[in-house]
Amino acid sequence: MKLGQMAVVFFFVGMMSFGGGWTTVGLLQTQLVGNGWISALGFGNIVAIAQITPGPVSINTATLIGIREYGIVGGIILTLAVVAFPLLAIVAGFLLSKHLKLDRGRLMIALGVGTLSMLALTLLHLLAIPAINLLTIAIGLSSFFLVTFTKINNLIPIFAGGAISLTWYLLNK
Amino acid sequence: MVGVMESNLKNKQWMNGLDFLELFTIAQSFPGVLAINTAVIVGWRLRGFWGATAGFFGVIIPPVIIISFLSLFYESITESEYAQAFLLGIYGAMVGIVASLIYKIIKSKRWNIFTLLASLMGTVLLSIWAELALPIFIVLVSLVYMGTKKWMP
Repeated sequence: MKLGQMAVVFFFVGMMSFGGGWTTVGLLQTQLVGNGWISALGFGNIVAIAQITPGPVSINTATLIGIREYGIVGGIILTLAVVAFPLLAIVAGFLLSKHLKLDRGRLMIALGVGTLSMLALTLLHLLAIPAINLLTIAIGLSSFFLVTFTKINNLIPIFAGGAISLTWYLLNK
Repeated sequence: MVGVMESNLKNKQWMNGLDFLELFTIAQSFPGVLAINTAVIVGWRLRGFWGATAGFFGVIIPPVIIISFLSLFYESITESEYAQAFLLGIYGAMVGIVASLIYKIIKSKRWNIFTLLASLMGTVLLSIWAELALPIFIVLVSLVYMGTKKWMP
C-alpha cells in the first residue's frame, strides 16, 4: 500500500464526515481492513487509543495510522488529508454563500439521513470485531443506557469499561 | 471542546455567546470535525484568513503532538495483555456510545417513512458497496434534499 492511496482514502472519508467523528469509523474500517491494509484487531486498537486521547477521533485515527505506517510525515499527510475537504468546503461556502441558496431545513434533514446511514454502518462494523465477548457486550449495553439516559460524559463509561475489563482479566488470570 | 472554546472566547471578550452560537450552527452544516470547523469559522469572523489559519493550527496541533508521542509506545501498549484487556473494555463502551448516538438521532429529528426508509437503504448500500461510499452518500443526500419538498409538510 502506498501513502498516496491511503491519503486518498482519508480525503474521501473527510468528505463524508457529517455529524461527528463516529460516522467515519465504519467507513474507514471497510476501506482499511477491507483492503487488507490493517488487521481488524489492529484497527480496533487504534480506534480505542484514538478515543482515549484528547482530540477528535478521526484526526487521532489518521495521525496514529500515518505515523505507524510511514512515520511522522505520514501522520501529518493523513491528518491533512482528512481535513482537506472540509476546509475547502468552508472556504467555498463562504465565497458562494451570496450566490447559492440552499434551504437549510431541508439540507439538515437530508444530511441527517446520510449521517444515520453512516452511523449504522459504523455500529455494524464495530459489532463484527473478532475479540468481542460476553463482558464486552455487558459493558456496551451499560454504556448505552448510561449515555442515553443520563447526562454523563462519554469519557466515564469509556474509562470505566477499560478498568472493568482489565480487572476481570486480572481476576481470571 | 466547543464548550471550552465558547467560555474562553467569552472570558477574553472576543465574542459574545449569541455570535458564537450562530457560527457554531454554520460549522455544523459543513463536513469534518466540528471543533476544527468552529475554530476556523470563528477565526475567519474575528481576523479573516490569518485568523482562520491560526484557529485551524491551534486546534489541530495539540492532538497531533500527543498522538505522535503516544505512537512511540504503540507496540508496547498493544502487545501487553493488560493493555489488550483495557482496550477491549473501551471497545465495548464505544459500541454502546455509537448505539446511543443512533438512538438519539432517531429520537431527536422529525422522521417520516420516507427519511427512515432512505436511511435504511443508505446503510444497506454502504455496507454492500463500500468502495462506492462517496457516490452513494452524495446521491442519497441529494435525493432526500430534493424529495423533502414533496414528502414533508
